[in-house]
Amino acid sequence: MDILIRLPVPSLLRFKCASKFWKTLISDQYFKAKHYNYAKNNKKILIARLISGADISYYCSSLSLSQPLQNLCCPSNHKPCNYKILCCCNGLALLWYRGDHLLWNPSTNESVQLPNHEITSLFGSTCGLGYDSISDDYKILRVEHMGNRPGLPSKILALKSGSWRKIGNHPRGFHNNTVSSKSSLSFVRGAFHWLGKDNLPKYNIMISFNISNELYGEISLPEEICNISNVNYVSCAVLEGMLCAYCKGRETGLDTFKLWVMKDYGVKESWTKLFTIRKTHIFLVTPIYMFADGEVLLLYQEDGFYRDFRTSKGPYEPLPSNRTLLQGCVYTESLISPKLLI
Amino acid sequence: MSSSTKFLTLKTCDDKKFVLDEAIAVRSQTIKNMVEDDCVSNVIPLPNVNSKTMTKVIEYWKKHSEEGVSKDVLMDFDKAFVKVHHSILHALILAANFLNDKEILDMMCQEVADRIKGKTPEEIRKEFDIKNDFTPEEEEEIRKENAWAFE
Repeated sequence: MDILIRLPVPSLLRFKCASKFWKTLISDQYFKAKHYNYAKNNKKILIARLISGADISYYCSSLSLSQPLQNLCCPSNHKPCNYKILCCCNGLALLWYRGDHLLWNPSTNESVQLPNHEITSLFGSTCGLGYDSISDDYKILRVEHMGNRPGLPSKILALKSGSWRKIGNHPRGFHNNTVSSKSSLSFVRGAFHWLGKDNLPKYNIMISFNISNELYGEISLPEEICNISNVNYVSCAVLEGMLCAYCKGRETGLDTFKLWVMKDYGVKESWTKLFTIRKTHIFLVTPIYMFADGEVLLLYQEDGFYRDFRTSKGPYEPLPSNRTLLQGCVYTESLISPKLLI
Repeated sequence: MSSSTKFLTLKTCDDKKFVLDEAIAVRSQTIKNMVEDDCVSNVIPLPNVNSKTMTKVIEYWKKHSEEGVSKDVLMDFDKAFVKVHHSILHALILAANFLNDKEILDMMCQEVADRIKGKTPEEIRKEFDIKNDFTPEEEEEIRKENAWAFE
């Protein structure tokens, strides 16, 4: 077993037909959990690229070993395949296409269609996928953007319950930040996080929503982020289990991107600025992953069209530039079966 | 201040004796526990390890206990160390397991995993001496489920 937990998922799927004992072992929950725990040390990145027309193709690559990009199968039988990657949690990816949500394990290529929900806000919405260890269930939260008016309630889908349920908005009636449509809700410490605004102009606050007890919370942002003028967007992400906040604005004639991490969860004083990027043009930057040496992998868009991967220091060689890059998302190889979760 | 070096004698299953600096031998958690519990008389029997395997283990322990060895040298040493016939590899895994040396065990398990990850089910059965107890239909069914993994 010590040997088998080190194997990549495709090898294990193949070895299932070695004998009945191997099949039972590899399908066993305890083995799956052990395998996942080991694979956590070797995170992978899931990449979506646009190919001809609106078709999307999917790839994966290791973040710790240099490995060529591997082509993945299409997550659904529907053709053409154009599911967008919304976010990843553990070994699973949440995909979306025109109201359809798909939960996909890119390692085993098993996917399951999630229940639909009716209303969608005109301003769009942001989703997040998280695991609730208390109810041993995966949960998806969908936060509607409200523009300048308080509007539609958020909705939560607990996979085991099989249907979406409305939840009340934040008691203080914050407006959810519309810019976050480009990213997903950040999941850490059993709660989703996103940025919201008070009625006062330019007052940003981080909102949290615990998926076990369904309570809202607020987290103060770094002083500096609140005081920057000419800010285009403020958003948050999770790097190495730490909450981080970032913003893009314009300072002294240059587009400026800044990123902070919160070293101790919930402790305002522990916000630490990691780096600043100044360039003539920056359109959009999304932090994706923090390497062991503290460098941060970014999905980087200089103008309206061209996206690639960079780190805080420069180009990221292992993932070559590609004009058709859409999304990148970090996940762990696992044997977890989406079909068994609902 | 003088430090006296204490030696331990290890006896493998084929009655070969190895005299070893205690500071090195306690890389084995099993031996360390015995030393700490004071149940070491003069010779420590290792009934599950043969002398050939023990020679390899001691070679590894000594190299990794040397002072001032650079990381690169150790990495090259480890790379060469795992390049052995699979029967020796399996013997080393059993020995590392008995001696409770996580470092060697991890390295060896990773080596076996690296060697088998690209293999077919047939090759796996041969490598681990497994009997195929599926009917051809059952086997075909499993293959179909994960057809892409066989490409």
